[in-house]
Amino acid sequence: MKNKGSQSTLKIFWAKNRETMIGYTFMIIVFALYINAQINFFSPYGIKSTFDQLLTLLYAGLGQTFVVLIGGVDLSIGSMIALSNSLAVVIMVPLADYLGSDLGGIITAIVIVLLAGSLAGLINGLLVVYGRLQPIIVTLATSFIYTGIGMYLVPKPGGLIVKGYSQIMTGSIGVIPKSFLWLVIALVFIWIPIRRSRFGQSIYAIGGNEYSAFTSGINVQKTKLIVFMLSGLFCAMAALLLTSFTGSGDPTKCETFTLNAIAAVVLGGTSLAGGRGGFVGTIAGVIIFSLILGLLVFWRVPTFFQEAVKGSILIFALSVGILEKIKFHKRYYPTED
Amino acid sequence: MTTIINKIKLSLSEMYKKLFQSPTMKIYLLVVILYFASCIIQPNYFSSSYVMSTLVLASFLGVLAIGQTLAILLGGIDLSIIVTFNLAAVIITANVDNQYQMLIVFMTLLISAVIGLINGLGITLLKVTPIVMTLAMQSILTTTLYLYTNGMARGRSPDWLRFISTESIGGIRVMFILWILIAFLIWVLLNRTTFGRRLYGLGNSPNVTFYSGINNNMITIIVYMLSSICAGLAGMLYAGYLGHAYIGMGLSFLLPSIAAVVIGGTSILGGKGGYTGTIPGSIILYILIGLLTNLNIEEAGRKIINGLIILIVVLLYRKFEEK
Amino acid sequence: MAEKQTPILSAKKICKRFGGVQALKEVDFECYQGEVHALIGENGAGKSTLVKILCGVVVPDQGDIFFRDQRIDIKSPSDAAKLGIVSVFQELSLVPDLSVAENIFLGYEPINKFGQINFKLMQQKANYVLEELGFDIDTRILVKNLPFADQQIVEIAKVLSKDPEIVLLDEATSALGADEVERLFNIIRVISHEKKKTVVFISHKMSELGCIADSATVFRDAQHISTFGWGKYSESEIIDLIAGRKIESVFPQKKEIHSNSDPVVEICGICLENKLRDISFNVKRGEIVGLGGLVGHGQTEFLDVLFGAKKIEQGILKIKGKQAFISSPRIAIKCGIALTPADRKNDGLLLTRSIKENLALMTLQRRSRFGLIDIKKEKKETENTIKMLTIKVSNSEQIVGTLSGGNQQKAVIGKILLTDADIFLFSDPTRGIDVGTKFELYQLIRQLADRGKAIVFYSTENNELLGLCNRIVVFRQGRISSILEGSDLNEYKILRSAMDIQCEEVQN
Repeated sequence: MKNKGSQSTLKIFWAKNRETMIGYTFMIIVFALYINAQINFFSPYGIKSTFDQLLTLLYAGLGQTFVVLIGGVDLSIGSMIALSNSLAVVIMVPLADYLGSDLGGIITAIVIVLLAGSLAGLINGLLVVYGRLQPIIVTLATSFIYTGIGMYLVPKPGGLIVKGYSQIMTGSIGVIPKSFLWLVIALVFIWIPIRRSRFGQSIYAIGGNEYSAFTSGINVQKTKLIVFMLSGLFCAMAALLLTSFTGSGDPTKCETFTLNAIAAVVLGGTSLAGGRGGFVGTIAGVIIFSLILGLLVFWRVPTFFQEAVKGSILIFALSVGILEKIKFHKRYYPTED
Repeated sequence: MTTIINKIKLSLSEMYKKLFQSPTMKIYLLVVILYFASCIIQPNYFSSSYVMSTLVLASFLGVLAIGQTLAILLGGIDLSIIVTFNLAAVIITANVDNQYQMLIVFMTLLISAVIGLINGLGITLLKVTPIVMTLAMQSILTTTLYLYTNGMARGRSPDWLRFISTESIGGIRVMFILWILIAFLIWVLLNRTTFGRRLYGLGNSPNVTFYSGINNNMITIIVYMLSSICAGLAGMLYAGYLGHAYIGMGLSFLLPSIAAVVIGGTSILGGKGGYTGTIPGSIILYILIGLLTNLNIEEAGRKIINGLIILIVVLLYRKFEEK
Repeated sequence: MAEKQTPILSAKKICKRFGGVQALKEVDFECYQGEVHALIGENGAGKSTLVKILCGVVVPDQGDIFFRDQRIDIKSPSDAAKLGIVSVFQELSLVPDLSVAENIFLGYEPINKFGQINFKLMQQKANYVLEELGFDIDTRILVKNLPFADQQIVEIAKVLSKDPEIVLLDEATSALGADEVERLFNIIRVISHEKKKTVVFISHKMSELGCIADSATVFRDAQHISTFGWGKYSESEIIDLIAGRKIESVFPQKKEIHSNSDPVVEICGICLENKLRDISFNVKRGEIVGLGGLVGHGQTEFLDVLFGAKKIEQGILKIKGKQAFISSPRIAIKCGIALTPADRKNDGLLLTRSIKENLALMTLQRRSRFGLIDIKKEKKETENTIKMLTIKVSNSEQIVGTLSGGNQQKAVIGKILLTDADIFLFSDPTRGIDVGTKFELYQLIRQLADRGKAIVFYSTENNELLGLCNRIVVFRQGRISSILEGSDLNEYKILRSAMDIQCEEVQN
């Protein structure tokens, strides 16, 4: 029997957040290297362009984090971004014309895209919950479907956006880049309220031990549905941001977001087994990822080499952490007869 | 005399029961149904040459998917097979003028085995989860591919390779015969060897195999080595079919390799299923591709239908399991 | 004591079928407010299924449930929770990566008007709950870092914190030590006699039931057999009700061991992390050495060490006079050692595979040449084993997960028997096993010893140790407290050694 207070607060914090802390340690190392290399980093332009790059991946990573926390993997992240991206560039201008207002067109397009993304995520959720299928398989299949729909909407890279859309989503307000604001919004207004709610607790419970969550009275099905819907919603947001950077739609280029999002989540310390980690770690993961790519460009490393670097980082980060795999928690639960 | 006849009757009826009650038969049935459906839409397909050519096209995916089947049976996955596939193709075509062809083949397979060994070691010793380890290897190998070829694949496929992949003997395509032979070997491996038993055991519960005296790490490493070797083999054969190699020739095979395994009834969680399902799984995918291309459905539509088929098949499996 | 009125909870004509197995056949059950009601029966008799139905985890095929004379439908755990019906199973419903406080309040976390959880308040409340129950556990610790006994306590605290009307306990004391069980029983006495709550209690440990039960219901073969007030029947009469046949309640005759025969196993100074310290003793041919002591004091770790499942830091192991370095189960098997793991479902059996495959799993190489398995030999050997151990299966292809606990344990034992080992280790083999199978196990262990095998036997039930073993090594805090033999083989000595108490008499 443990006595109260026998374990220091620090030890307990470490036990709960060990992997995230390791993720942040890496991030600081990479950050230091980056600042060292990018002499003009501390200029407004330097900071802004850094954050711009990682924004799409950030929101994609947020969506992926939710699914990974309940113990699954979403392989349709990139496809849902492709779908939303294509939808945006196809409807925005016609809507603006129809409504006779640029702003109206933008806002309506944003709403429609967010709904579409949520719907795509919801479909994933319905198949997982009511079809009783594994998330990896469902999202594998729907990734084909959503990319296909995206390709149908935008057969060749192109599409149009309303002038001024880019300004609204990106740029700066004074010294602060808007993309930094988007990061703050994601963390403070989305992640933290969810994390501190009962819904957030049930996500961790389901990822930790789904049976326990069920017998504790948590509505596992409803929670899972919402999680997948959120994944789609955040992919839509990622796509809206992407659209503002690129100004066009290209469904085929969105595929890389899926695996990059998984990499960012994993680098940030969230366990693929579920129940451990969180978006705070994913932020570190996304930053590590984007900064390293930036570093490689700065050091004039050839593009194809970047792949090897990405891979090596993943192996290194994970083997140092040696995340305990799924089966371990079964050791604590001798089963009944 | 009568006892022998009775014995034969008994074993035949056992085989009959096993075959027709197994879900794998349903997939083979689905292959036949899809084929006839496509014949209705496109009467040209009702010819032995079409059947043969579809089977051969499917065979490259089929050999590639052996590794994926083994990895998934273990409860893992191998995302690096497509680059091993590409690498092997590139090596064999670049060395077409070398007189020691057997040596080149051996070297290629050896390199593939080493790739698998690295995967296995990373998963067992460094305890990196398979998705991440093989994903990382995929990235590293892509770079290796570029370095080896300097950005562009050279050479062409040697004649003996092109013979295997494109010619026929006695009306039957050599490649198909090869696939059947390999499939049989894999069946024996999975169902009649100690290794196969240990593999299924490990895919079901590493704790149990540990307490049964089985070396879990060794089994895992061998599985990933076999996976890469099959990928290398498939890469060489496919290069023989195309006549040359190019960078990126493996990319479109990744998701289909997983799809073929899953459609074939192997559970993504491991421990259940086998290669006998992956075979019709591969064939189904190619019948679909052929059909859809012929109906002039553009890539977008093909992708959508591919995804829908996977969903429908997997949902049906679920319903069947729950009965 | 119980108040004679209408039952607070009753079930009528409940039927439940799982696949091909009828788990409950037109079962009736009733319990009264304020009583502690024991549910007893063999494995597969239906007790756990009934409890699962009463708390909403499983839905019955037919039948009605009445709460306070009103017919109700319990379709999910939250339905049951709304009525005040809670349960504790051996499979804990805790989330390992969350803290004790988070687990206790899972699903019912205190929130403010914005829906945000007040973590500090939750922690305070959790501390209060545990204090009230008389336990001292830091609620900030992650559940996975607690020993299993503490986890069971957290589970119990979790359900009791909801101030339930009816508490269903299914083998909830399996890992608890004697003093923890006593504390739990005090809590049960308080909530039933003083607070007038109802407790339904499943256990295979007769001695525990004797301490706490007011009345009991016996199930057998998915049917209700009898309900009676405690004390009406003697222990052997109850055992007869459970088994439906007369059981020889005597342990098989022990054999004397010649003191000058060479030991088969010599254990010297084994140390493991903070779990084991200086373990030394010998085992001779034909000898059964028991491991005693309170639960969780190193017995299972020690057996794991002997079998190579855990690596030792210090110590020497000698098998048949030669030093052995057992670094893995594979090597242990080669040295002639075989173990039945304590957790048979997770460590002993592949639940989705056939019994034939499971039996063969440890000895594959013996029936194969160049890696190819001799299928006929495998079928023959496994079917022989099934017959010899009288495992109840329809054929050797039956999936092991469908077998009852007793038959599953027989399957694990069958698996290790095929290794033809010289040294057999049994880690808590009778846990959750019905009475009939237990006696068959005792016979089997006796036969193995008679054939000259060396046996190390760990059990949480002292009467088993006393009935079977030539010597008992009592563990305390990872060290050997004493080695008992001859006239020292009595429960008093075991308890005294296990708890290191200096007292004249022991209350029973």
